[in-house]
Amino acid sequence: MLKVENINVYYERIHALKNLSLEVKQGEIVTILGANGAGKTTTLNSIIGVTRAKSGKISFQGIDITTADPSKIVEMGLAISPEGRKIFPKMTVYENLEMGAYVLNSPQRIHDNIMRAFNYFPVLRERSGQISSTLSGGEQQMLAIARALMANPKLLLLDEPSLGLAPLLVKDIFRIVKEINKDGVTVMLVEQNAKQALQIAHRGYVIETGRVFLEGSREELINDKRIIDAYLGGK
Amino acid sequence: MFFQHLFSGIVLGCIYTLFSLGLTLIYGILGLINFAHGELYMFGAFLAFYAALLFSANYFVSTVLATVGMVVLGFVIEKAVFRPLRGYHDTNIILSTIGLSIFLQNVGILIFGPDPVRFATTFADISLTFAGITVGLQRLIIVVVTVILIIALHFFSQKTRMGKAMRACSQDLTAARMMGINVNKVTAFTVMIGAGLVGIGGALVAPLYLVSPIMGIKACSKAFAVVILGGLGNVPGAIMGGFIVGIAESLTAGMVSSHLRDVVPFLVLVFALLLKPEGLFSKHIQEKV
Repeated sequence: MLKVENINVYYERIHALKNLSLEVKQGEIVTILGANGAGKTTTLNSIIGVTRAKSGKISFQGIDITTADPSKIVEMGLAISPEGRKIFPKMTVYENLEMGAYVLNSPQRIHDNIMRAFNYFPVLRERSGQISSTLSGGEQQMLAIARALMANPKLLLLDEPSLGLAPLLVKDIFRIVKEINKDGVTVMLVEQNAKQALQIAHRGYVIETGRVFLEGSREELINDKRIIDAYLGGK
Repeated sequence: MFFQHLFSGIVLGCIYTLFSLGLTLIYGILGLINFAHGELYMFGAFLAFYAALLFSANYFVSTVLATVGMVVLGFVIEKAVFRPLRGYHDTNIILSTIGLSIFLQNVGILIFGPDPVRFATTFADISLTFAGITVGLQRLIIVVVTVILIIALHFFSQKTRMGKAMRACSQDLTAARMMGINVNKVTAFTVMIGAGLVGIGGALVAPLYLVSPIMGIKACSKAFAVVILGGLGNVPGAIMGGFIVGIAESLTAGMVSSHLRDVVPFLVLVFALLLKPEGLFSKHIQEKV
């Protein structure tokens, strides 16, 4: 479904992604693990089109999107819940959801999608008219995921949805991500919380300093000694 | 006497508001301070003047024609100047818009001539008297049109898809791009609206004062006081700031000394920068962890 082939991304003189390749198949939850600054967010931002790869190729459902405008990429069926949530702080919860559906033109579909988002995240229904900067951190994270779902994505990119949240809330969010996947949305999940991510993922990649360091199925990764030592807190 | 000056202040506030709205909208979305905004004001006044002269159109028709012309000019400026500047350092951008300002002034001198002109309308001398206050018809038109435009802008930004997209872009441009919002379209629209508003401002004052290619310079520097007082990028702030500066200026000129007229906006600016540099009407929104 999504194929990233040998992309190189630079920030000024910093070589952020080095010949990075990965693949996501229809129906999967694929997790990308790695330490701070490894290039996880850069990978997602390159896929959605707000960061540009200098070389290499990104294709989605067989179509080259390496240099496509984000508005086209979102229209094709990719959506992101970005790092740091990036909700629109002075807009209401409802308006934030509307912005997520910007590429849809039918008011009926937008309304249906908002109702679906409220079913996944009932707390957002209660907060619907509230200015979103007044939400709690967990609610803002739910809003960011719900907003990404508004565009009817085939592939949902989630950038660190557990960041800064209480363990109970993290569990909740991962349960909902699994539910979203069961409903037919392919998920690419960037996480520092490897333990939680590997519980719901089918496959995973480990990125270190801009390169894919390791890849494998959930079982392979959970039992890999290097992963256990570096990401799962040892034995 | 106080109420007479207060009314003049409100009229002045309307003009400052129409001027500053575009300035603050453009800053909010493009992150760019348009030093050429005064020249757009000047073009609005001249376009209305020449529309009336060449097509012998009545004042309202010529104002509408001038507005359409300004929206087109806004479109061209965004495409030809602002868009290529995106991503460059602030200094380059500021110098470029100052350059644009000088360029447009000279284009104005070339096309319209260096001498000020008088825009005579049939009702410029009509005035009404309510409870001891004399209200010129042209000034009344300014107030009514400004109020209508503020309400229209509010409705546009709250209820329409493009208006909401503009707000989203001003709050978080990267997030807006990630949502698939076409940022090029939004910035073009913003500059067109800003140019249209300031152009209407120019067309509205044209019958009151002399119209000249350098009329934008003073207006623009005063408008900076307004937008900084209101908080750069803050739309309600620009409206409040416009009326505060307009009324303060008019009351000082009328009640204290008319020599102090031009001092007031800059005094306001100095105090705003000293006491609340983020703008009187800007709240800091704390980011949640």
